[in-house]
Amino acid sequence: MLEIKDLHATVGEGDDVKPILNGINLSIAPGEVHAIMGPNGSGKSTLSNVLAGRPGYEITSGTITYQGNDLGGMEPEERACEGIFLAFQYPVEIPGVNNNYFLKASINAMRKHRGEDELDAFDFLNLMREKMKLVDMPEELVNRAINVGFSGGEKKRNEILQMLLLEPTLCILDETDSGLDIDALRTVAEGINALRAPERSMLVITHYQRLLDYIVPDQVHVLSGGKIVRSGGKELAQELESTGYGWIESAPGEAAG
Amino acid sequence: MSQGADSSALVEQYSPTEGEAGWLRVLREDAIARFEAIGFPTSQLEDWKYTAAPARAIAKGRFAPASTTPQISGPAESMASVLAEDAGSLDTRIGSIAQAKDDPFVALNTAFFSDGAVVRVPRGEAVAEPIHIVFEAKAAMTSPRVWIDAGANSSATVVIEFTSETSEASFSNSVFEANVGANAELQLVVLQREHDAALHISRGFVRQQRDSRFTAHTVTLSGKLVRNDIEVVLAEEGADATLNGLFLGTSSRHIDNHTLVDHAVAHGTSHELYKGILGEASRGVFRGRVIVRPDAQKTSAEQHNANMLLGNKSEIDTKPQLEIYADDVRCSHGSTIGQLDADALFYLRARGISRDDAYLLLVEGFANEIFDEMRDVSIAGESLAERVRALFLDSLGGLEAVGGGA
Repeated sequence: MLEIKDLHATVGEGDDVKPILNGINLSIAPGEVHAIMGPNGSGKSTLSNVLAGRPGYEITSGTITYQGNDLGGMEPEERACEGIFLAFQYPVEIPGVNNNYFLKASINAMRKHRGEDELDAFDFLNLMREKMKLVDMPEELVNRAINVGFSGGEKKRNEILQMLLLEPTLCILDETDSGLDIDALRTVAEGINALRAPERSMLVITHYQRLLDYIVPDQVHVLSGGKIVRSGGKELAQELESTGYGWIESAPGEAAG
Repeated sequence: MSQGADSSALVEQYSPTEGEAGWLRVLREDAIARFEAIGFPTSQLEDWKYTAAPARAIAKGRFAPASTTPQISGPAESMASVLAEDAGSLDTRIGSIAQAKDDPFVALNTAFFSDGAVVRVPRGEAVAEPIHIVFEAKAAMTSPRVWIDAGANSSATVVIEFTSETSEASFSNSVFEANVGANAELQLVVLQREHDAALHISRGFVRQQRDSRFTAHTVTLSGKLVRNDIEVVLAEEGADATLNGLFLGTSSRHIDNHTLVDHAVAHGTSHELYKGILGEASRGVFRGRVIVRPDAQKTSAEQHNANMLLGNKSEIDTKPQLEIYADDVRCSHGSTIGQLDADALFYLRARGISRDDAYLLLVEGFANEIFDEMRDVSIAGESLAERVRALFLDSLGGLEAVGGGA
């Protein structure tokens, strides 16, 4: 599914270029859920942005192979159409653009890419209603401008709603749990779990172990200084919860498989 | 004060129309005399700082006066027929709100107009269908003229639309004047969609009576040089004025928007929202004057001008100008200038929407507030706001997708 080899990446332009990722190796098989944990500034969000193709992030060496194709030269919209979905840490507010209209444009862009017919208004509405139930999304929110006037929890639910609608192959969840209360966290986790499938992989980026009580990962990786310094099973998350990240500075770098 | 050569070409072409009503002849003679005296504006005048140079092209007399007959649908009359059959009914009305005074373009229009539209909404009548008036620009100087009188307690929407019958250079010099009666409601849409070689000057003058509501949406989608001026006098208490505008610059288009809201008496409210989208090497100007006279206590006036600069060479000059002579008032103004939001662009692209489509979606999103503010009525079975939005989206095709930091 996803194969990252010795990935180095920078962020910024001109005099402001900073190296953030310093040799990441990671392999995710179909159906697997991997969690990436790590302190602030370790490169977690950079990794998700590089995977989604955000302008301003540059791969300086190494490769990302997704379903056998090199992601390097692909535009963000191509990656999305090929099934890569980034749930944003900070979903963007877009005044004037209706959420419903946007979701329909999005789903139809992908259908078009796959050579399928576009959904008409009726089919789209039915699909929306079905998915909205899964994340408790009130009707009035989807008729507003994208994320405008949404609470933090509503924004995250809107991300998961999009994920449910688009049914991606690789889901990247960038700190989807940050700032959520326990009820919102449960709702969001249920939405994510509804998508777990043998042909779908997930990369769950989080600062807190709490989310992983609800979304149980196959593997946990610890990112520090732009490298994966430790990998293990789900119990590693619990260990981190009790020890914190303080040990990282003294630990020797250990590449993950 | 004469500008000599600049004005003489047009003055020489002026000749009184045979058999015209005496009052109109006097009005025209006065207007041409005013024009001869003041001539075309120079860039020394603050009001014409940005528009004077292109206006000189007009002054060189490349455009011979020609008549223009609008297509009218809905309960409105042709100006030419009213002047031929019942000119007396417009005596002391035409020219009473749009006065030539120091305005050379109003003077020119007054001297040369031969046709246009007369809208007289009877007292208490609510006109459901919008009154639609369409002028076509010609390879000449045309002088569209519209007179609107909204009777007390009436309600109507008037759409004045400018199109072109030619792709050659044209100059339309339009004047509309409106009297909004007591407690009446008038919505006006001025839609500029002439050809890209068009010079277009539109001067609007509105007088509001007690408790009246007036809304104007001035939408500029094309043209080479477009100047829209609108002046509203809140002459009696309790009047409410809304001036909205949307202007789209592509190629090297120049669009100048000047508004004047004159709060003459107490308890008036006004709202202004102008949005500019400027691509490529286009240039926009917004100058919003608000006068609050000494007697205009309890006035509330707000003004906002938001601009999206999309071209490497596009420019906007925005200038609010508040003149407040009363002490118990609430006035605010603000302007913003921004580029396309790179985060928003990425967000849309990350959901599979192509860069070009995402770009257009964001520009449309920026403009949507203006369409949403239109009081919706249907025009030939189609929503007016939707029609204007569709025309706007068509015009966006001319906008080259640049910038945005992505």
